[in-house]
Amino acid sequence: MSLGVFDLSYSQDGEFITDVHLHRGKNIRPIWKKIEMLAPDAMIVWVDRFDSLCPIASEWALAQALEQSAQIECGTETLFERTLLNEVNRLVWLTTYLGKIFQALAQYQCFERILSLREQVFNFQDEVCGGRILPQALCVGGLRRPIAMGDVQKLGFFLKNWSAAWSDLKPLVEDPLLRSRLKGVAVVPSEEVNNHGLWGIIGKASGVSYDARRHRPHGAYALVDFNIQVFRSGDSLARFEVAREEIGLSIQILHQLMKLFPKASKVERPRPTIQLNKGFYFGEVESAKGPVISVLEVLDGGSIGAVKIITTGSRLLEQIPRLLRGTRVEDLELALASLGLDMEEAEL
Amino acid sequence: MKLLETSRLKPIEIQAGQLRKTLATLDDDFSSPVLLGTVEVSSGFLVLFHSVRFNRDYSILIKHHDSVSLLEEIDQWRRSLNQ
Repeated sequence: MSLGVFDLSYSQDGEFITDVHLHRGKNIRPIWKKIEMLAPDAMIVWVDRFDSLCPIASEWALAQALEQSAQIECGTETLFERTLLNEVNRLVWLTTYLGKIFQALAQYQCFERILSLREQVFNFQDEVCGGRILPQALCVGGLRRPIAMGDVQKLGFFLKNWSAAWSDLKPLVEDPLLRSRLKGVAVVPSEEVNNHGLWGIIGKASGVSYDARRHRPHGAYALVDFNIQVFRSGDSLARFEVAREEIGLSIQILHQLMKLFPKASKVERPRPTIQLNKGFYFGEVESAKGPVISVLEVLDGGSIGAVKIITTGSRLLEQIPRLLRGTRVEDLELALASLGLDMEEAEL
Repeated sequence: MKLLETSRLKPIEIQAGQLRKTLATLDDDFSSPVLLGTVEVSSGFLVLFHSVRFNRDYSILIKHHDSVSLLEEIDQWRRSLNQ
């Protein structure tokens, strides 16, 4: 079984998984070496490739680190624009996540409908950023293509149609048979979450409410009201519920952002000169799968020493052999999907 | 993100097997750290932590005589949390 750049193999006793092995394959993408050689704006564009399902969070986290190094402060509009794009982009990961679960459960009608919703998000990203899957939207100090009030109106239409389609899907998502199939599968105890920082959807399903939008407010998140939904059972059903709630939360946050969105400034600000200063810099943005942390080392003369994105996924991967031991063989695909591991991160 | 100002710190020299002990002597916050990840930088390794107790993130720049053994030590640390 293939899991990103890993191959997963397992032993079983006829009913349960007894051992899991992860083997790193040959298709490791040298993404960081490539990014280190690029100019700051190009680095942000390129980091999209790290995770095609959470590109905005990756771009934003790296932009934060670069802006600290260059001592550039973003304007209010930029903070709103980035927050808005991040919330739209969260819908890509969340719909993909639910789609993978439907696929593992052979619920093909739900699978097709949720992916159709994801298509609508891709279309919106394409319209606003010019990039369908990889938006390549941010640059140091701002956005490559600033969001106009017209784009905010487009978002209003998008949200209206999207929310209606999502509401139509809800009865299928709340099907008791589907829920009973998810219950008790791949339980992650809260101690595991705390010991290994398994935040995001896994943490919230196991009673840990860590969310960088709340705990490390960035962009316009400090200006909007929202509650983080937490479940306790830590199983696939709880993670499914978190994903469902997070979709509702993103819609709610987007509505608030639209109301608060600042009117465009009449004065065009000149693009700041990007002069990176020596040191270590960090950024943190909440993606749908959890916080994305960027690390940047700038050397003398402004050249890049190191750059990397750290996510919950890389920490989770190390725990997979233990977490999957004792899972029913027939539940393996569902367990992997519900842990969010059957996804697109470059280092998974 | 609240982190130690790593750029102003000299890399910490750590002997084999002393990572956890050395970090514990630096700051009380490391009483129950969560290891977020490591990044190889020009002067060693940048190790990122989260303090559960204070809900803060930290980074430490570590110089080690052997990068492979440092990473093994970090792995051992992670494994010890599972026992």
